[in-house]
Amino acid sequence: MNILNFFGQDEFKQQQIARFIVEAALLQFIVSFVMIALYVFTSIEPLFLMLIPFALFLFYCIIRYMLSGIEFADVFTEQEYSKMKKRNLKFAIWIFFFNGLAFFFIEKSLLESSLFGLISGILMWGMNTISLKKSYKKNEQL
Amino acid sequence: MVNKVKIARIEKDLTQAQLAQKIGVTRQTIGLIEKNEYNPSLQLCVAIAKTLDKTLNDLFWEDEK
Repeated sequence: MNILNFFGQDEFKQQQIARFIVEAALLQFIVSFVMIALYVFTSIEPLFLMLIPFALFLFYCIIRYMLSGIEFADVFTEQEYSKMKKRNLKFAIWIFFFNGLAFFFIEKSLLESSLFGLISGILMWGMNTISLKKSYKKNEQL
Repeated sequence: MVNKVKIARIEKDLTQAQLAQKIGVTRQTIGLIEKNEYNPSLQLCVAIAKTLDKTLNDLFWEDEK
């Protein structure tokens, strides 16, 4: 079984994602040495130092994927672009309700859960919009 | 890698989307291959050649000048 199949069936997409993960892992490896040095020479909370390379790995992969323009590989026309924009908006609204509701069951605060839902919805919408724009621009040139 | 996928696809009267669907990749991948911006794997080259009824030589071998 090929582990790259988890990233979809398209081989170009698989290769690109694998490349981003390798780049992120290298970055994580280098930053880990910096964190070890900070642990030895400073009194910063060790857990915080440990989390930075992990967070960096995650954000690097997400941002690279978002900016690469490979997510919406079949969006070539203005119509498909508008349709996908609407779908992204609907998805963001779902995220707002789902996350808001999930947070409400944990915190029982309407204001906090609405805020959490709103932030996650806006974040999801923003990321998908950037990714869609990048994909459409890339596809326009093909 | 220079290739003749675009010419062969047009000869076969297929769109990028149709070819992509037949071989199970995205249209973006076909576009990148045709523009020589992505070198496909041997497996994908064979799939393209079979779909377009061509040999690997026809599609991916550079003519000597």
